[in-house]
Amino acid sequence: MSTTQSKERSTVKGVEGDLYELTTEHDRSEWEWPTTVWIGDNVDQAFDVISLGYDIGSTSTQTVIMGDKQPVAYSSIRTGSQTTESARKGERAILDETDALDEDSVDFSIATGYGRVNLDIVDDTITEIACHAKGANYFYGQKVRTVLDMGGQDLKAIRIDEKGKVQNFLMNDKCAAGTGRGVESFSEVLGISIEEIGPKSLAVDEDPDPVSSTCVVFAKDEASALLREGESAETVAAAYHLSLVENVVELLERVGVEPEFAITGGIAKNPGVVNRLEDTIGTEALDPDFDTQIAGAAGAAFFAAGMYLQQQG
Amino acid sequence: MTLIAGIDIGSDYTQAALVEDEELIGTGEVRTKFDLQDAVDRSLAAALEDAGTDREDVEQVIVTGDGRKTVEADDNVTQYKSIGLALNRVWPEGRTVLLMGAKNAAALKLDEEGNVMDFDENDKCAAGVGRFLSDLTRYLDMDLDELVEVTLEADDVVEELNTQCSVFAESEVISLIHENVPESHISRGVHEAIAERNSSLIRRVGIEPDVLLIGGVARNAAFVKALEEAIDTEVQVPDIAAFVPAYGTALTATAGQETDIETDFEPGEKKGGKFEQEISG
Repeated sequence: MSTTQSKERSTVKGVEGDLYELTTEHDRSEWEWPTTVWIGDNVDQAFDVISLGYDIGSTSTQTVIMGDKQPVAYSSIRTGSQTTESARKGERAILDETDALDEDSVDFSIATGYGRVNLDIVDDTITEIACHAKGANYFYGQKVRTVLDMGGQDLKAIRIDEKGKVQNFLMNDKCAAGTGRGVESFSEVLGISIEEIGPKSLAVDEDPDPVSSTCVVFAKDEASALLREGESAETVAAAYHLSLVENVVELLERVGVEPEFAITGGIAKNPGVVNRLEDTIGTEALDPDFDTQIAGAAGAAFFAAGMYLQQQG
Repeated sequence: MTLIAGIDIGSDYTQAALVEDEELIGTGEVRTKFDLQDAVDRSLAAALEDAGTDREDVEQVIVTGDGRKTVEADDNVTQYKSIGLALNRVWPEGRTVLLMGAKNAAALKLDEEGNVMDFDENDKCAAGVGRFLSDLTRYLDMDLDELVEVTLEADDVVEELNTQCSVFAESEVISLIHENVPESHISRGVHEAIAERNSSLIRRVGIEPDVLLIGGVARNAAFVKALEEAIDTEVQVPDIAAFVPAYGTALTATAGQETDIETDFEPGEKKGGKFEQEISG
């Protein structure tokens, strides 16, 4: 069961709509991300093609519904232990907030993300690299050449062309360093939420030395030692973010940063990472006006519309 | 009575060895906690009690391990040199040694005199060290003895763990439990994965019998078995496996005059980043 915590107006690629923040019962940690649902004002319109994209990540699941390749609705929830169940919940979260859509509205659906492999409720699947590339191109425009996707359990640097086609990419999905789960795990040491840690890391007069361990497990040990020595939570958060950014920059430099530069995924919401990353590589990331976590699902929904049209001839 | 104390300050545990005429006469082990000097003192007190002797009889205290330069002692030495000295006494046939502690793993190559001829190490990634196994006991809600027992008795192993990182493993282990995969199969899978990772470390210095496992992880019989399978070679565990560096540290007091240890590597010296995150592209 969900209850509305807040409701505000929000625009996604030029479409205005209502953004709901919902609290749901969950069993993981008390400060877990809330479920968010956005319903565009265009939801009542008649569309030729209604397409749906799921991005079932290790940590969160995004669902995007498009009408004729325009955003109509999206949701973001925590991924459960069953991927099919997570996808259904993501769609249900949207349908619960609007009467204009139902389960039969969708003409074509595509899943991406790590959970796509075990899913039998969609028409097709596409890799998340392709979907994030297309999603970044869709939201930020054809000037985007470099996309950094910082997901729950992976980190991807993608070079794309003006059509959003993948030219080259590098991915780390072996190690928690530089991923959302890593940041979340580190946050536990400080006893603060993943939303707070980024802003907190910026609240220092002077940057400390970065923690020396790339590994999150060892970085947490270093953090405990720093806290015991009397360092503030802000300083420790800063030390961790500085090390995390070094790690991310290394990956980015290997793929080569060419402007325009865009960040997608959950960590794009963390100013402690984004600001430092921009300072280090000397390029500003495009400033998104939408939830950066939905880029992959939006790419999938965009592809779904195209595939549907192709199928119809 | 002339006693020498060798103390190995580890990240989780500190071991002390009391040595008389190069013979080990007492050992002590304590949790390291925050204050390293306190850990040194407590471990020494435990070893003195074990040997039934007094602090006044100790002529020299020599330390090794993390923070060895920050505590009060008569001398400090590098861990690898100590290991070579100790093993040359307790297991002179040992040529390939895997040292596994809570936060580091190192493979050493020894010659017949205990000189360290080559080494490689991982102190970068928790997925290949003892810490992963202690985290696993937490994920599975067991103590270490239970973990070892169920792992040794496992009649099958979880097909493949997707995650290499011990942080990611937490959620994977939880989903496997939800899928009703027996804990023994999960634990064996994790043991095999850690053994596999360390077998690459060992292979880089070369596998030459006898192969020895020392350090705290040597107490985990399930890991010993997994390592034997991973390198397809018998692995020996000296009785004093956890105390080898401490014992060797005490031996350095007299070794200088008698043996010719030329190789003296500093842990952390090799910065190859062998356990750096793997990038697939």
